[in-house]
Amino acid sequence: MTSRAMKKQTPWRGGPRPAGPGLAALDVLVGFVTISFLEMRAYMGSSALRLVQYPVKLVVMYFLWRAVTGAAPGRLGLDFDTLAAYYAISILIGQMYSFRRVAAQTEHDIRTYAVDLHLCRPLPYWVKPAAPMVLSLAGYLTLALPCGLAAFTLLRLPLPDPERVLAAVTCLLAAVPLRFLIWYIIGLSAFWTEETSGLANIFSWVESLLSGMLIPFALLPSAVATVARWLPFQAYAALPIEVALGLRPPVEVLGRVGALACWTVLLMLAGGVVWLQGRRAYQSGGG
Amino acid sequence: MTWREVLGIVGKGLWASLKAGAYFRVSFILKVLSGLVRAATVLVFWRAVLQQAPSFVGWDETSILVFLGCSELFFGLQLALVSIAGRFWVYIRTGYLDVYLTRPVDARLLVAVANFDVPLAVRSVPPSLVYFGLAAANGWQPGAGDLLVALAFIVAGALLLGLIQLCFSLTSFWLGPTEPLDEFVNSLYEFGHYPVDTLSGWVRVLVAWCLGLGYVATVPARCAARGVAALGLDTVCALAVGLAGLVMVWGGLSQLLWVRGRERYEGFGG
Repeated sequence: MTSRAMKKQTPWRGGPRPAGPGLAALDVLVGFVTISFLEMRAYMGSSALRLVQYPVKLVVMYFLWRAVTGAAPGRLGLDFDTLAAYYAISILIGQMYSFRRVAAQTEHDIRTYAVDLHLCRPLPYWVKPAAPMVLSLAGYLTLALPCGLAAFTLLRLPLPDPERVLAAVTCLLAAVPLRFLIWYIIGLSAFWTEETSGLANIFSWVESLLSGMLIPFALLPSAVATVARWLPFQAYAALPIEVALGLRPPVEVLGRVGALACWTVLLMLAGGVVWLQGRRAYQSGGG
Repeated sequence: MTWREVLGIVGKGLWASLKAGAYFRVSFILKVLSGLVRAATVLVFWRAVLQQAPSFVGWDETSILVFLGCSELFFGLQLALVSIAGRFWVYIRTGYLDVYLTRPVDARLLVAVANFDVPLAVRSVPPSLVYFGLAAANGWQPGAGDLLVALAFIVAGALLLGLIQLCFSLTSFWLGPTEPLDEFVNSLYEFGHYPVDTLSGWVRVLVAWCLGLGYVATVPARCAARGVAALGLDTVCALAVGLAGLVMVWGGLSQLLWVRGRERYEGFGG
C-alpha cells in the first residue's frame, strides 16, 4: 500500500489532539468508527448477515400465531394482523445489533489482558466496544427500513403512519446508550469472573421477556406486565412497537425518553464504579 | 478403522470434555442457572399462548410441555456433540485441517471429538426435567418404550442436523468462508423450537421433511406424549424410515463433498 493510500485510509488525521478528555474520547470514537467502516467494507457480505435471520424468524412466528388465532378466533386481546405486525417489528428490532458482543468484547479484552493496552492510553476503554456498535447501527438503519417495508408488504399488513414510525425510532435510538451500558457492565464483571456467558444468558432471557420482544405485554400475566411497564427495557421493544402500531399515543415516548435519560445516567455512574473496582481487582498480564 | 476404535476415541473425547467442564465449575453453575431462567421465560410465553388457545393444531398444554422437554434435550445434545459441523469451514479456510489430515483417523471425527462440550448437554437436563415434571403433574404417564423411541429420534435427529450443517460447511472448499450459510442454517433451528404442525404448505414440506426439522422435537414429542401405540406402529416405522433416508441422503452428500473438496484443497498457504 502506498503512503498516500495509507494516509487516505488511516482514521488518524494527525495534528494536535483536541483539548479535554471528552473531545479526545470523541475523536478516538470517530477513529474507531472509521476502522470499523473499513472492516465492514472489506467484509460486505458478512455485514449484511444480521438480517439473514429476519425472514426465517418472522415465518416461524407468523405460522405459530396464525395457528393459535385460528384455534381461538376472537379470544385474544390482539387480532392476528396486529400480532403479525408486532412480530414483524419486534424481530426487526432484535436484529438491530447483537449487544451481547459488547459484553463478549469486554470480557475477551479483560481475560486476554488486551485491556492493558487501553489502560496505557489517555482514553476511556468503553470507546472500543462502542465504535463497532455505532457503525453497525448506522448500517442497520439503512437496511431495516426496506426490510420492514418488504415484510409488511408481503404479509399484506397496513403500514404504520410515518410520524408514529419516527416516534418509535426516536425511542429505540434513545434506548441504545442504556442497552450498551447494561451489556458493558455485564462484560466488566469478567474482572472477577473471567467468563460472563452464563450471566449474559440469564440477562438476555429476562430482557427478552421484560422488553416485550418475546411476547406482547397485552398477553403477559398481569403481574409480569406490571413489573415490565415499570422497567426501562420496554423502551427498546414494546413501547416503540405499540406506538408504531397505534396502540399507544406517540406522546408517551417523550415521557419515556426522560425516564430513559435518568436510567442512563444511573447506569453510567454504576459503570464507572464497576470499572474502578474492577481495575483494583485486575492483575494485568503476568500480575 | 474399526467401530471399536471409533468408539474408543469418542469415549476419550467425552471424558476429556467432562474434565474440562469440571475446571470451570462456577461458569457451569451459572450456565445451568441460565437454562432454568430460559425455561421460566419459555413457560411464561407458552402459558400466555395456551391461555388464549388451550389447544391448537393438536397440541395442548401437556403435549407442549413434553415438546419443550424434547426440544431442550435435542438442542443440548446437538450443541454438545455436533455443533462444530457448522464451523467446519473455519478449519478448511484457515488450513488447520492439515493437522487433522496427518492423523490415521478420519479428520471429521477428530474435529468433532476435539470440540465435544458435554457440559452443554448436562446443562439441558434440569430444564428438561422441569418441563417433563410439569407434564407429569398434568397427568402425563409415558411408557418406557415410548420414551426410548423418542430418545432414539432425538439422537438420530441430532446426527441428521450435524450432517446438514457439515454439507453447508464443506462448500467452503469451493466458496471460501461460508459464515453466511452457517448463520442461515442456524436460523433454521428456530423452527425446532415450535411444533412443525403450525406450518403449512410447502414451508412445512421443506422445513419438516426435507431439512428434517420435524425430527427435532415434534416427532419425539408425539411419540412420548401420545405413545407409539396411539400413533400407530406403521406411522412410527414410516417416520423412522424417512429419517434413515434423510440421514443417508445428507450423509452421502457430505461424503461426496468431502472427497471432491479434498481434491481441491491446497492446505495452509495454498
